[in-house]
Amino acid sequence: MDIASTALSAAQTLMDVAGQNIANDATPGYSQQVANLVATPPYAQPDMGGLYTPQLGTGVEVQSVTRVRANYLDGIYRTTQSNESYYSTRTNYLQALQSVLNEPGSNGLSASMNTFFSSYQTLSQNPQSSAARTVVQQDGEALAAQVQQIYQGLQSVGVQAQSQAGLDAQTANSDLQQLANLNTTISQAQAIGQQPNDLLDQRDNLLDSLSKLININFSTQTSTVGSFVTSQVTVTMPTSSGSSVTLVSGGQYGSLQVQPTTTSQASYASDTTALGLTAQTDTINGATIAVTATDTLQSLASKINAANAGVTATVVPNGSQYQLTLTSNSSQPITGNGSDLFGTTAQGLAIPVGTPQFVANATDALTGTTSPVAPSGGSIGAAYSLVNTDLNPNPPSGSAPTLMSQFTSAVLGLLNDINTVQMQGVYPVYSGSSTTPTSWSAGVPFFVSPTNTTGTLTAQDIPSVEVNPAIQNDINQITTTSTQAQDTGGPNLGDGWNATQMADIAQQQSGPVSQYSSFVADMGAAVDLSQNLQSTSQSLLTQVTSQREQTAGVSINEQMTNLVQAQSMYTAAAKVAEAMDSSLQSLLSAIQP
Amino acid sequence: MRITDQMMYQNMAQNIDQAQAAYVRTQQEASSGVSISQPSDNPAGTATILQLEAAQQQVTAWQSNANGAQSQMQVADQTLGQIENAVNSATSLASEGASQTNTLQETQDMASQAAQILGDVGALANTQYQGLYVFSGVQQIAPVTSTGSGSSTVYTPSSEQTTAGGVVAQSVEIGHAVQIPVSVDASSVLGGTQYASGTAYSALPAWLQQRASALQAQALQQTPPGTGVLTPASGPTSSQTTTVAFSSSLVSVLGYLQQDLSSGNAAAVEADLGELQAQAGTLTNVRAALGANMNRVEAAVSQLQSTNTTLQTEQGSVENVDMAQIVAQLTAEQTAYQAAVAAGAQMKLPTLANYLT
Repeated sequence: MDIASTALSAAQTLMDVAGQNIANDATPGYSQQVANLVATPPYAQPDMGGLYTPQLGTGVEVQSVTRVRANYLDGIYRTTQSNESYYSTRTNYLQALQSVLNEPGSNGLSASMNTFFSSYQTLSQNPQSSAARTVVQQDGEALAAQVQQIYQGLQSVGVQAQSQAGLDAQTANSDLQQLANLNTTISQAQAIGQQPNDLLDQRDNLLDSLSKLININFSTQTSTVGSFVTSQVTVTMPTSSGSSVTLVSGGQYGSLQVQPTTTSQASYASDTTALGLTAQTDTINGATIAVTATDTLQSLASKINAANAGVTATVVPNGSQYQLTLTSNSSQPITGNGSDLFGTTAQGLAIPVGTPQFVANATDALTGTTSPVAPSGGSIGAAYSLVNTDLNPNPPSGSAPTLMSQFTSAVLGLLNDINTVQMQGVYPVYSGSSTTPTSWSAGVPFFVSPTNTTGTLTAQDIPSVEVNPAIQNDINQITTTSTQAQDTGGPNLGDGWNATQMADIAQQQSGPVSQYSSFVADMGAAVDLSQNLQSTSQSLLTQVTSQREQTAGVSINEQMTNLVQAQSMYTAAAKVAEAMDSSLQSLLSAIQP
Repeated sequence: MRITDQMMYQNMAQNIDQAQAAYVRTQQEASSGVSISQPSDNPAGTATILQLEAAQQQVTAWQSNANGAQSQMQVADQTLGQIENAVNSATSLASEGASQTNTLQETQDMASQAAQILGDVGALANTQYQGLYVFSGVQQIAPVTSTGSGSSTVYTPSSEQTTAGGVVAQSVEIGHAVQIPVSVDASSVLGGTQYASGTAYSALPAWLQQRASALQAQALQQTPPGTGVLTPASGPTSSQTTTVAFSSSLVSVLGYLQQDLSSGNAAAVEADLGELQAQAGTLTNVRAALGANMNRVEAAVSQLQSTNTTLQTEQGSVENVDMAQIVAQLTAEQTAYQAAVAAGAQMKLPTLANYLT
């Protein structure tokens, strides 16, 4: 009878397991569970004579309900997932960068360049025409405005990437914490012989979603507690120096910090010599700092740190000079009064607006030390490489040019070439009401920034580049003639030689026009490459997912078969019990008086 | 191979997704007509397109320069033609006036005609084309300055307009490193030299020497003798110098013609006739040079037009879609998408659960 009852309860368990599997058919990350039936230990029947002592079975029991999962696939899956997430995030950001350029078309910078140079051709026909000069000035203003707009658009994609990465890091940190908690819970359950299949599934899901965010290495540690085996997952990540930091180990967890920063530097020969700056009140990020003539680099640093401006100032030796570095804790440019924070550049200490950078650190779970990491996978890795590589305007010497450095060198080449030609020309100076020029002055630069009117612009001037106010006020300062020997022997009011020279910039073989178009092509190639890599890794991911599903997925037909089997087992066992019962009944009725 | 339900549904969803994405992409190409809507569609092609657009803009600018040059030169050529006509009528007037049989009244009438011709030529020298003086070289906004007055008027470009070689020409660019002068150097016709009072007799050109001698002789013959144009009054001509200004331009010849006709001096008119004929030759030279430049510009205009067309065609071949091919592709992808969706609808296979009671 007892045998029948074990069969009944085993059948019931089987039906429960089948029901559980069917219910979780669509649950993501669910591994199908299997009940392991085992015959209960037999006992030796008391000797009834004969040579052999038979051992009779005692029924069936469900020894364990385990999940079916191919663990070796998990590693492959997570690596592929990291790659796919990296490339898909990267593709999105690169496409955003590309759309800022608005090429090919009539709204991009190439079209503005072409319009600018051909308006100079028109000017060369009649250099005295004020209408033609006005057109040149307006085209120049459009060019400057567009340069600023594109630059800011590119930067803002980087800012967005960094803030998204910050959110992803928060998600990652909460995942790490949950992992540690699950480690504890699972090993506690396993230590007393339970099989927390759903918790194990949850832990695996956490690892999957973590690998979407960042590239992790994981390993499972097993240990024996009594006669049971517990398993815990350890998560590590490689650091920038080649070693690794432990993010989760047992019940302890570390954390990931991503910090968008902006740094800017200025150098001076000594850190304790007075800089001789004009005494004034300067602002950094809105906080005021009183600057005096006797300020040194060190005293400036301590004033800045005390001013609560959201930047940290440090002074470190840098070769033969000392460098004052401002590091802000946001990715917005450091703002001050103009792009030169401490007076005019003539005083030798110009602190530029700052280069956005992305810093990632990880705190070890066991030791608590923080070390810098260079994420190379997942969405955080994509943001990291975008900001620090593609959007870095100053790549280290010897490395390949980045998209941003290509942009700045193409734009600076354009602006400075225009300035050079403008400055090699001369414009007429009149005195009184005379209509003939009394003298000719050398041309002023066409494009300037509020802090740089030398005519040689640098990358820091791009965000604030504009047409020289001198030209805006007096369009006759647009030089169309010059004193050069190739010219017609001297400056003339009607001579358009310099205007033709300006228009000829567009025809230079490796001039600004072709530099900019190869930048656009490189941007397109980068997007194309990223898209291809994304679709490759996506199809790999699909394959691995399918393989995982193959082992761990629920097949309704299979479960229905198990259910039918359990059902018939139940019915049969019930019949056995009934047969036993009726046998006992007949026995009892036989001995009834 | 074990198949689970999730595998089937995931596969179906992915295949439909891919078919749809391909269809949408082709549809966008077909509706916009361009195969490159952003650089990543074809990076190398994008660079080509940008270069071609820049080249087209340059060619268009050169075309506008060439057209402007052509118009300006045509105006100059017409003006020179009109000056030539004036010279011709002055020549026939002079040949009439050189005859000894005219009465004073007739020569006076001819003198007023000559004055009219002089005025016309003076106006023609300052012909403008769209506000620019055609004969002023690089000093386009200033008229040719006239120095002297009456019969000694000389039209010369200002010092800003001339170098040792003559009027400085205003040039425009009509091709890569190809410039063409658009202004006309008519200084050999309109300009000329002014000989101020006190010039040595030997420094005058031959015909002015003749004139000076004739005027001197005429003055000395008057009763009482008038002041001549040379000093000393008589003596070796090598030591004489002028006491009035003389000038040797087309305009001054016309002025002398007028003077001589009004005073009835037939011999002087004969000398003026000779000089006019010489000036006509100079005028022809100037017109010929202008004509050569005009031919250059005309050739450039038609060549630039064909260059423009070539560039546009080239850009189109990179950028535009082949409509026939894209429509065929669109149809194929639409069919593929519909098939994927229809197959997906069949995915709802019965399971064992449908059959168990």
